[in-house]
Amino acid sequence: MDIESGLLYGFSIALQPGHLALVFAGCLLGTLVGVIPGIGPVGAISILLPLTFQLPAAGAIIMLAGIYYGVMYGGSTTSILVNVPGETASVVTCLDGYQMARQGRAGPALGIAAFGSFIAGTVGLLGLQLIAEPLSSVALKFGPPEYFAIILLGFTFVPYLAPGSSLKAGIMALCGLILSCVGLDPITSEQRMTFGALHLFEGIGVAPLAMGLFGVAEVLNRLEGASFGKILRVKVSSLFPGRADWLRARWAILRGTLIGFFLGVLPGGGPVLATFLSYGVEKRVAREPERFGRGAIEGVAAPEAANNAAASASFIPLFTLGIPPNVVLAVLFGAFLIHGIQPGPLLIRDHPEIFWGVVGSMYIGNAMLLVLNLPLIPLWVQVLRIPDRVLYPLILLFCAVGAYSIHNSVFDIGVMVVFGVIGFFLKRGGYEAAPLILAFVLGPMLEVNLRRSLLISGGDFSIFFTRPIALGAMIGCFLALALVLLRTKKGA
Amino acid sequence: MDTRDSWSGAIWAGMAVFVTASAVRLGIGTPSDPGPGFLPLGSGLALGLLAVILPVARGLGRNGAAPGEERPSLLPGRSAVAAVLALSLYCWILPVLGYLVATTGLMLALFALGRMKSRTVVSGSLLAALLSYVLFHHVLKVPLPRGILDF
Repeated sequence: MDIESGLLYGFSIALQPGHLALVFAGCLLGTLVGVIPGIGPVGAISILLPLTFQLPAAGAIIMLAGIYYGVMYGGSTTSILVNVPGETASVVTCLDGYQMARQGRAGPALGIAAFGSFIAGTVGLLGLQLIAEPLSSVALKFGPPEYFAIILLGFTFVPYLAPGSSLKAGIMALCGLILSCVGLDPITSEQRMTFGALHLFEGIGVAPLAMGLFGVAEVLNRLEGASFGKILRVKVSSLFPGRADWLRARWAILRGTLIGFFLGVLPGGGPVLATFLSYGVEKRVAREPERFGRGAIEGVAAPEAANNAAASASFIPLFTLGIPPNVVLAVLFGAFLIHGIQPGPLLIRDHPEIFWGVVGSMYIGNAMLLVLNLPLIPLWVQVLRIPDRVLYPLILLFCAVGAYSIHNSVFDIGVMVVFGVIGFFLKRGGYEAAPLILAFVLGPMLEVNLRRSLLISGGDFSIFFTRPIALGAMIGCFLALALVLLRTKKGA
Repeated sequence: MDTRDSWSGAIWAGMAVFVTASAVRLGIGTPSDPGPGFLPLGSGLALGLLAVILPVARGLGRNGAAPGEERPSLLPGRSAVAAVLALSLYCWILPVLGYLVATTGLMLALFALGRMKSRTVVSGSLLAALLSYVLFHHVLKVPLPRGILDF
């Protein structure tokens, strides 16, 4: 199917009334949860995942994609109005967005964030539809050594790209890898670290794990008194940035889009790194860099554009290689599997309705977020005013019922609670849970491809260095390790 | 002195020993025919190595947090402990008492942590249980446990 007919087919799916309603619901719910500080896209998708269980696969994925970019959008509202990022990718938006709001320019800040996100998201989607199909054809020629090397590249980039300590990120990634081994061995079907528990034969579910580490752990931390910032009582009058704002922001949006797109595709990259890098670039190219941190509109436009371009681009490795490049896509990968869909090079051929339907729905969702959510900003501000003592119990309830509904099993609630407690202590100890989830999802793929490669080569590890793509990825691994060591040395 | 990295290093080291021992028990196999313990062994050994480095790196200021940096207390407070206990209890009573009763109980406990008026706590809990029941059971068709009271 060529791109034009694919896109038309995608729109014919996405514009069906049922799917249109799901895109709308996904965007709305995503923004609603995204506005709440601390939950973030992983928590939001995990918490809202059960809502999709009864839906057909295409509808479910369309809704989850809507939730994803809804969360990304909602996060910026909180950053600008409260100075607390709704999710990690919105941290940078706080710097100038909040300052703009304090200067009475909350409207243009929110407006440029929305328009920048829309433009970047749309460009990201164009890239997705242009690259995905040719890359899938190439990926069909990949064997286990290529897959192993590419997944290993993702693993080695995790410590380098993770915020905070590389060492702790590495420990988290290894823990994720170990947890992914729990259950029946993928080749011999022997029990591994199951302690004889029947429920663990299929391994630990990614949804209860993510709900615990992100949803429950965050609430437990907040119960300890970590409160949100003070909501600015500003009148959001005009949301349309003026001519001067556009002139300042246009190149920032373009640069942010390009940076976001390329980093979005990178294993271990994604929106967080893209926002920081695009902000840094803007500051460097600015004529008056001292304006940054004091309400420069480019400081909002660039990271918001980067954020959304990366979010769209990160679907490329998932759809074409079946490899989630970041933790949000790792949870989405789990959602695909729950709905019986295996992302990868065969996805476009075997399930064109999913691929093109999601692409079509993303275009619609981007426009929907722009048209519907700007007028809803006063509502999102009200959401921020819901007292914590009401909000947190409801999040815990939603997590508990959500975990139960995956297999109709109380055991999954128990798993969620256990990982909620573990997540609480990890957070207090300065550990990020994101590398753990990413490694947990990539782990089984890594293991199967490693073992198959060794079976093929008769135990000869040179198989990873004699095939061009595998060799390229292995060189990337060594470079990433060198960068980690360099950063650690610099940090010292 | 903040010793939490030493403690966490010890925990990771313990986990590494357990995983490595399990891997050996499972069977590592050979490079030409890797067994079920092959990857766990590699992961366990790597974790052990990082666990040993962690406390040393802390001393050198290489773990992302500057030595002497103020960090929140590791120990959970009363609210967090109570919430975990309520959720754990919920796991036990949910299959026995059924969704509506157990969830009302859970929400009573969780809302009570917020020091609200008792009338608000009771009405809020009932409302949350009922609305979530309608959403999950009737709209999303999740077969929620009915329990001994059969509802």
